[in-house]
Amino acid sequence: MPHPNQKRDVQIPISVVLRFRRLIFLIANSIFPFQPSSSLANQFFPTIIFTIPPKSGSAKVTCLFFLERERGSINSKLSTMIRFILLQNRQGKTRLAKYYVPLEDSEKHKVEYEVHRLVVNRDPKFTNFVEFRTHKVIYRRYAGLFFSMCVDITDNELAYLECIHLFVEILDHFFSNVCELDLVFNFHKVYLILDEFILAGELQETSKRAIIERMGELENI
Amino acid sequence: MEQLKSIGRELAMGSQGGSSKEFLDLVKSIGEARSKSEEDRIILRELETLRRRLSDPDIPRRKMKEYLLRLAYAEMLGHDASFGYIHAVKMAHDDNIMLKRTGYLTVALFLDDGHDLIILIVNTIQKDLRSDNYLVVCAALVAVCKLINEETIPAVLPQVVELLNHPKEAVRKKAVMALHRFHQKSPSSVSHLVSNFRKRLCDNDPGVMGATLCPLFDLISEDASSYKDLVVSLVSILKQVAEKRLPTTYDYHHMPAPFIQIKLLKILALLGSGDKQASNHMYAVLTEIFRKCESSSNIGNAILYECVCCVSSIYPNSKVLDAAIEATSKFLKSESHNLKYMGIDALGRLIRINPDIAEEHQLAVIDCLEDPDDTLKRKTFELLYKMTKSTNVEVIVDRMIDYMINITDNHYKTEIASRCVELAEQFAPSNQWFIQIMNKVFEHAGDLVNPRVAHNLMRLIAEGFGEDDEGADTQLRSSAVASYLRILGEPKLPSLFLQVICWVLGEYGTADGRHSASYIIGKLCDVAEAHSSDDTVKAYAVSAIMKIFTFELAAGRKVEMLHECQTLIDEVLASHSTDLQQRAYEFQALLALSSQAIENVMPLDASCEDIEIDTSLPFLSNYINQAIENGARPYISESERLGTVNTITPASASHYQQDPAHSLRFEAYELPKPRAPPPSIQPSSTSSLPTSSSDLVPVSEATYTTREEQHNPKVQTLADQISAEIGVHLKLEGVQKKWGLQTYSSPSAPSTSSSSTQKATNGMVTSDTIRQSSLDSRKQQVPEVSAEKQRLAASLFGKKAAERKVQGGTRRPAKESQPAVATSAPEPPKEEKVIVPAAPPPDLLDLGEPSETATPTIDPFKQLEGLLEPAAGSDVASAPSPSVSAVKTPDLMSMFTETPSIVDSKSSDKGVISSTIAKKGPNVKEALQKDATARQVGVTPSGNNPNLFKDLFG
Repeated sequence: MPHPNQKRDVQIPISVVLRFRRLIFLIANSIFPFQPSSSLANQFFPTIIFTIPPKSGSAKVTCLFFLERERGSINSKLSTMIRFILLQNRQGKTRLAKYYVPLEDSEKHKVEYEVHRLVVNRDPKFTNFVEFRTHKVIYRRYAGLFFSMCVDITDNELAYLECIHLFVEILDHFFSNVCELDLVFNFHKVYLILDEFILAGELQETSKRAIIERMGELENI
Repeated sequence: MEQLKSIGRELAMGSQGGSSKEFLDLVKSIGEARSKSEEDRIILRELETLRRRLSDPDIPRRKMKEYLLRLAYAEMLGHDASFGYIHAVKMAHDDNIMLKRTGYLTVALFLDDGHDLIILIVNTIQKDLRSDNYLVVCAALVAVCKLINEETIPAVLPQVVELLNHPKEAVRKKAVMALHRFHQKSPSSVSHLVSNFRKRLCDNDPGVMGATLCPLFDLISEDASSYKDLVVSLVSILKQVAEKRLPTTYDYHHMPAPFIQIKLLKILALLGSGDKQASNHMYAVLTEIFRKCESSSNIGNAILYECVCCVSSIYPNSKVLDAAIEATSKFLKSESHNLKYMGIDALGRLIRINPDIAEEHQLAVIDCLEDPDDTLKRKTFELLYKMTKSTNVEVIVDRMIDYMINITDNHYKTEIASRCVELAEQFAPSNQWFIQIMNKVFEHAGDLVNPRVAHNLMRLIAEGFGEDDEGADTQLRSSAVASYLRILGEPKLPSLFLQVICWVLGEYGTADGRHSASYIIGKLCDVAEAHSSDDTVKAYAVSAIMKIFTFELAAGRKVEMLHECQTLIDEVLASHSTDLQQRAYEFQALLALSSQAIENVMPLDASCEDIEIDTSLPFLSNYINQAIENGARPYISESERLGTVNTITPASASHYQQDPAHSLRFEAYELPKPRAPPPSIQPSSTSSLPTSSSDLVPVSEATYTTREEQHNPKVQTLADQISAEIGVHLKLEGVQKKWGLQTYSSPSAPSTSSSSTQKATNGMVTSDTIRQSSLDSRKQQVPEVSAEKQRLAASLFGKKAAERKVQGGTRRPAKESQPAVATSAPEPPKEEKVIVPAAPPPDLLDLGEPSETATPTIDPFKQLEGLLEPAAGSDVASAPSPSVSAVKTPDLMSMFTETPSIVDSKSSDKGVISSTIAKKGPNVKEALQKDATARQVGVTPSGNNPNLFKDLFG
């Protein structure tokens, strides 16, 4: 809906732009036509729009608050924690993906693709740690399956490496001699086990028996 | 055989009844899919089927459960199943616990905490948290961890807190984790619950105790001092764990509860950091763990590594330090890459306490440096970076650059390039070397380098090195010119580097008389021609050509206009970029002037000279007097005019009426005491809220300041009484209107004199002894070629202990003074008084976000430009490299102001803050002077994009 003053506004439409972490604050000289298709709108939600009524001799002022549309990234401000866990096979098919930080779908795709590319061709003699953007991926290969965990750059890598192994031991115990097919057909159960093991990006329970017992309780209902 | 097994499993699973034939078929067909596109086709077909079936109003619940699992599967494979989300939410309402669990599982997989459907699930969660069935409560708590966002925390918080005392340990554990998550999302929401966490630390169940360590770690990392009383109990817990007092179910590979031990060690490291008393409690248990841990298993080594980290963080003690060194050397000697990696990292931590430790492991370090494993290599570079000093800087930086040339990952390339620059700036043994290194960095990573680095380099060349030896400076410049002329032959150069080259050639291309003016001009024309799409480079080139011409003319020589040069100027005269046009017109105008005038306008090698501006503009007074005599009205200051308005309007409205300008008003944010002299307000607000004041984008502040002072009623005097200061403001206003940017006055810098001395020390402060010793070590490297590794080791780690002793006295201070040299030294407290009178208003919206603060000069247009680019600011937090807008804005001031080019990561916060504070000073006079200088020298490329708003406003 074009505004009658549109032409004038285009010249100096915005007087102040303040940017905060996820909030944008714009003040425009007047109401300017907000077009949802513009690239600004694609990235941000206009959340509050209000107009200060014009005083004599001054133009109308419109304030817009934008909330950033992007919901998060693996760089999210949360403190040290596991960002995501991926199970992929050698061909890069995702067998399990659990994210502890909110990511857009497209970002998830990218992450899965990049992680697979990073780990699949590494020499087995090399370290099990790869730098991934501003984080670190700890991975371990079991037969044709790669278990990858994205953690903070300063975290204890060996501990997470063993964390993966503990998870695999738990799976092995639960499915008695686990194989890729078990995970595929029972992926929902794998999620449940993972929820007992890691919650909110942190190790919640490290006793194998406690987890197996809990799973038993859940199975029996 | 393998196939038989899998068929057997499939049959077994099929008979489980959990999944139908359809689901099995789906998974099987996906398993057999040969390509990603085939897989996509199968899933899309599946989603189509599901969409059809879900639209049926009456689906049996068991079937629904399976549909949801299939949706989850499709979603996991990266397809959009959003049409089914609402069904998952509905299923979480179900009374049947199996179905409810499936509902929660799928909801947690589908949604994240920002989704619109969250509001629908909160009610269900509230109900389930009250359930008698602990399994239901657990399912709800798991969902809470994933789904509850900042706004909905209050809705569930009381119930979750209540669950901390639930009889079932599984519930307590999950409740603790949920609170941990709440703390991450909104720290204030759980700050009153600290006592509950302390209580849970003594929980009977080790699992709950282990989980409690997570929130405690977060709380302590924020503020260690209020938890010092926990040291004793944490140490005793750790001791008990290490003594195998926990149930054996927590053992992992024969180690007692290793993950809990690691978490405890992390917390102790935080608590003992810099606290001798707290550290005293820890030594015994650390020694014991060092003794008990077996280094044969991974997990044992993980604990050892965590111990080393802890030791390096707490107050040092020689006994545990020895144990840590021993553990580290075991890591380094290991065959396993993983352990080597941990060893290098541990070594990097330990050398902070004692730099000599590295010496013993020099060969191991060099092995790692040459390892084909990239991860290990990078870690080793990180170590080298930490142990760089003036004696080994050349070797290390050379290695880094060699490595940098070959990497493709831009993120890491940026990082390593900025590290090279940082090290070179801190430790450069000679200016020649510094320029060479900078050239290499620009050549190979030019577009990734912070523009400030380029400006610093230009200034370094222009200012020389603060020594009185003019000859050395001249020599340096001519060597720079020579190297740039050579480099210009290379096919592809980054834009930033070309800017440096153009500037230097313009200033000093003909200075030593070795190259003729027409030769340099020809080169510059080539540059402009080859980069016709890059306006900034072109602007630099045109200015450089202009300088060469004027220098020649001023010297009384005649310069013929080359044909290609004329073509370039003609082209630029018609350019779409007003900046380029202006430069070309200025050029033409200059050529028409007499040689004496030219000399005054463009003095030779005066880029560093200060320009005095008499802001009362005395040369106009004749003209004014004449005009007044002829009947013109004398100038009445704006404030005076306003004063008359004020008397007419009612007092209540006067506030608004004060400003007749057709622009924004800022009354809402007005200072409490606008009439008070600026200095009296500022010191308190800056000192109490340093982050928030730097948080504010200077844009508003600049406007704010000027307006404030324009209205200052004190200024109601006649024109002839206007002080110099006000003259500045008047002039400033004009400039603002001209450019339409209100940020204009913001970058007023700290005093030039102090900054130039700082700059002069930059990299050159090394005392003679150091330089001598570095020369020695270089001499020693050169002749030996056979044992290359040993040579490298020697150059990296220094020769012998004895030699080190001799240098020790000089080297340490050099190292310690790093932050001060690298960044602009924090202003002494009294200078802070000069800071703007504007307290940062918009703090209510977002308190100090340090990652955003590193942008001293931002204009709204650039900002908006930044917004339009996806995720422009998201990486700033972690990267040590400069802020985004700094990269985008060719900052014309930075050449003349001392701002941290590459901020030492350790001191970055301080540096950034002090620089922003310094930038805000209301010293407009200085800013103007500098601007004038900058203009004169021609380093004012403006990159405003006229099409910026095109897509925004159609």
